[in-house]
Amino acid sequence: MSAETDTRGAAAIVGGEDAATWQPRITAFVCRWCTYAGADLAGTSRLKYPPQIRLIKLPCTGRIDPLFLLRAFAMGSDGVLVSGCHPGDCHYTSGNYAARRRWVMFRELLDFVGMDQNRIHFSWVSAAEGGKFVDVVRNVTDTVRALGPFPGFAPAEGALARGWATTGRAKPAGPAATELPGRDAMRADLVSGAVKAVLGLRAGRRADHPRAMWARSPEEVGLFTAADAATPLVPLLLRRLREEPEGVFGIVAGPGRREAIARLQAEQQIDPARVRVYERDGAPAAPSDEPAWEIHGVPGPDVPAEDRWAFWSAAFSRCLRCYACREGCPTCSCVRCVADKTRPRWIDSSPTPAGNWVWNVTRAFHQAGRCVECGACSDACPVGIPLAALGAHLNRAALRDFGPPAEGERRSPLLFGRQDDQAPFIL
Amino acid sequence: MRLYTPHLMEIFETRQETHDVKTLKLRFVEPQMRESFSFLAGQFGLYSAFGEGESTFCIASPPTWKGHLECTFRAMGKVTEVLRRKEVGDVIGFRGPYGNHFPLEEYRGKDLLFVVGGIALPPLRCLIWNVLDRRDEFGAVRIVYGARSVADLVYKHELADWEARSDVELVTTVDPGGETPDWKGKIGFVPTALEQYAPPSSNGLAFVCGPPIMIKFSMPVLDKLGFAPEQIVTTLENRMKCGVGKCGRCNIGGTYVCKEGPVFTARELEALPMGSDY
Amino acid sequence: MDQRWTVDDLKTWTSALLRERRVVAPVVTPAGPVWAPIRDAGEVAWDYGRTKVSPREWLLPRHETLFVYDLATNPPQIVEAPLDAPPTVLLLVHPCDVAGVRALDAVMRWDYIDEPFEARRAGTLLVALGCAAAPSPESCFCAAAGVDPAWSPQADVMISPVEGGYTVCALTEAGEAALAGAPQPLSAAPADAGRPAPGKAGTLPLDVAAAAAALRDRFDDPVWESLSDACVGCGTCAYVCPSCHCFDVVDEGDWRRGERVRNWDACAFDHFTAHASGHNPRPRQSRRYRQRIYHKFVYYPDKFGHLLCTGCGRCVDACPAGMDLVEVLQVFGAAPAGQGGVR
Repeated sequence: MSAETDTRGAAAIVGGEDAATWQPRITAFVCRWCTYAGADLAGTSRLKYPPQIRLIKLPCTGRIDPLFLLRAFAMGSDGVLVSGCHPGDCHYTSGNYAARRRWVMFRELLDFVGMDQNRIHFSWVSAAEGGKFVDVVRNVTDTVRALGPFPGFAPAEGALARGWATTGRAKPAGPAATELPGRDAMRADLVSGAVKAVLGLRAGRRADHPRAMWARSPEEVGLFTAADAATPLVPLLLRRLREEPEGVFGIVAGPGRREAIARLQAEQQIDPARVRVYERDGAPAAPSDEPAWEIHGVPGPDVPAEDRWAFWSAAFSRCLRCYACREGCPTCSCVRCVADKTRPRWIDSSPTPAGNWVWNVTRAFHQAGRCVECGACSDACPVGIPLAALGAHLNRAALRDFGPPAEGERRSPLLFGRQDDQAPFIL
Repeated sequence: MRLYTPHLMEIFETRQETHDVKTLKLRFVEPQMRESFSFLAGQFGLYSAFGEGESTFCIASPPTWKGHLECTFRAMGKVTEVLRRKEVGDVIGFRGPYGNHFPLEEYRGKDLLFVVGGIALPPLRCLIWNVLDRRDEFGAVRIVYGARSVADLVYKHELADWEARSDVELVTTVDPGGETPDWKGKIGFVPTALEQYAPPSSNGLAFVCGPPIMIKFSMPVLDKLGFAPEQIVTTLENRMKCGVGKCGRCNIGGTYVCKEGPVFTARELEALPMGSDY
Repeated sequence: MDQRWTVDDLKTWTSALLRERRVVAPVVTPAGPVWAPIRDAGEVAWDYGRTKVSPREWLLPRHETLFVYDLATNPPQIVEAPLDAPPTVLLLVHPCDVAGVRALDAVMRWDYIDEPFEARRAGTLLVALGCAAAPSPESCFCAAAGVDPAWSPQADVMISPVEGGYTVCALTEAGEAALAGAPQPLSAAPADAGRPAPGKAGTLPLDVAAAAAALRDRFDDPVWESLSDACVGCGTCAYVCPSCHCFDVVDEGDWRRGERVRNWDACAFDHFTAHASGHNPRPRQSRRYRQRIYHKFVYYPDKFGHLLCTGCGRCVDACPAGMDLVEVLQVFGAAPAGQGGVR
């Protein structure tokens, strides 16, 4: 219901409801063990709270995917509340720790793209806290009412095409290699059959446009070029491994690609026994102390939130939903993307402002703390959305908020949590 | 009404054919459509389960049955899952008829042999009933129909009708192990049954529809029985979104199943790159 | 009489057009030129090179509602979406993109008229701009694909860059009417109009005809393995293309209320041909890439008599994996069957 939902907030105003009587629609996602029981207690205690809130009960806050929250906005909510058991009280021991980390990153992302933080609220409400539940609902309802209807995801009139995309800074060139190391090993492995094929880059017809190539014979290894480019080799490797369930495949990989492969191994998407890496050098990732907005030339925190919102909603509205960002991304490794799932369909498949916004923010969120910052998403985007800024920013935020990962730890920092994670915004 | 706008049809009867195959009997909601709608055996339609989308099946009832349509489908994907849950009184969408058809007039006077497996009977059932409703115009009608098990046979009551008719020769068979204690039909695979029961033919036509493996092993038998590729006819189902040659996904080589099919002779299929990941 | 127009003349004329119609033209953004409705003739990028995405979305939008359904009412209702087809001028369309419109015309009018497309098409005035030089010399090959970079027979108005300005020519009655009261006189078609020649205006000299002919017998040629195995399946080639037109039809909503919409789709996607049963006749990415090439150079020309590729070269520049259609055409245009290759 894309077109309709985009304008539903506005329609409520046009429909004649004046500001004095307008009431927000608030969707609450709550865990069944604590907050839902707390809401029950509020009810049985005959406590009154604003009736504009709709509770959706889930087993645990760990089950509450931030996508639900975006979906709620796309379907016409003006505000969202997420609530569950206090830290230490999770019915499933640690579901709320993982949830809390997600909330931290999700808020960070929404803030980066300029969404008003006052529309999304988080709280801990236990089964015994009927009174707190009432206070939270009042607080949230009042806050959202003061904001007025959610305006939808469509960019402001006239923002259509102008001034929304920047080019960012040129990527640092890799070291000018004159010879590709490892050719002899590749040839030997192809001859012995240790690998079925080796993936690398060969010179294209045009200068500076190398193309991905699978070398199947020792002769073809000679075609590999020493030059490097952001060509999405890791996604090609992953596709091949999935299309052909047998055999070992090689890949020529600099530090960035090796990191991506290591992550995919840690996430059990790649069987290390089926991959042989031929190491090469390459451009290092941008240093993590350099702000993402400076690297990628997008609005930073010094830009007012409304302007960040205008920038990103206009950029997302240009999205064609070709999913080139996803197919080019080494860590977008899902066998079936949530955007392609239809039972239920969580993300509208149509390139409407709402569908586009939800898609791009969801994809960025899925890279939080996992992005290898190769820039392939921005490179692949035919309409020039500076997507790489999002993953880079969340990487820095994850490092700041959760600290550096343990030695050798490559799983997403959002998969687990610690009791002492800080999230002062939670009510 | 525009090209992609379906007509609403009301379900007035349903029949559970097997545990996952269902037949819907449909009537147009618009009275004038009930009068004016016509189609030819072999054509298909796109059926809407609103909220999920459209699914393509051949019309399973013959054009000789006026006033309603039947569709029979296996619950496979999201659309058919929803259609399966529809009951009498529910409304679904239909647009069509699309595609080519069985050139029935060319079949007049000829012996017709139907070689069918499992859920593939519905598209040929349309033709079978069309022929039976004009029985005098055709030669012998022989049907070899098989399924994995007795429970997987569709249109069981109609099989009994055909069995009882003196002007139809019906052989039903189930795969070994698929029989029940009171099963009266044959036991074995369709190609074997075909070899044992179908007489040689010189000017007849064979209509083959079923799983790829059944078709693969039936073709040499038909060859032995004297059917040339021009005399072997089948009907295909590919994924479609538009049904009218625009959306670009049902092609096999340069042939659009929606426009140039779904009915093809084996000779026509020989020219298509069907074997190799087309 | 001087028949040359200046940019100011074009602006004056565009302002006149804007009074009565929507004008969609290339405008400059920091990410390059894009097609957008303009409010003022001053926004038009008169010398824009080539847009990354073709203007086809103004005839076949990336997203459109076909109808809205409401089954909760009695009787249930289907309400067709209003045909969103305001009178529009597509201004400064290069000949490759005009040829793309011709390709869409053929499919959308094949036996069944696609009404939403037709409504927009009928309301659109195509104003072409010839290319004096190839906007992207490493990927433009329109002349080899049978499109004259300097002339668009299917356009309503032809603007040709010439020394010191432009000449303007009306090719249809609609074009003539739109040019009534033009600030400068009109020109006649030059003698060589519409005659493409490989290499014209700096486009790549390829033997596309030979390649298309060779493709016919080389569907199972092993060279496909190496030509197609770098495809990442992103669909960008199809989304930037002026002639790709495959679409998806989906329902957005639930079983009571919602809308049926049409969105762009691409043969590169793995679920494009997947059956509900799980069977996929095109299970490998490399096969999906091959389908795209065959559709453009064999299947479509067999039906409609011209290529489904206009040589705009966008897919060459857009492919994140560096796949290069020009290389494919070079392979098939040059080497005999069974050998050759880019390797």
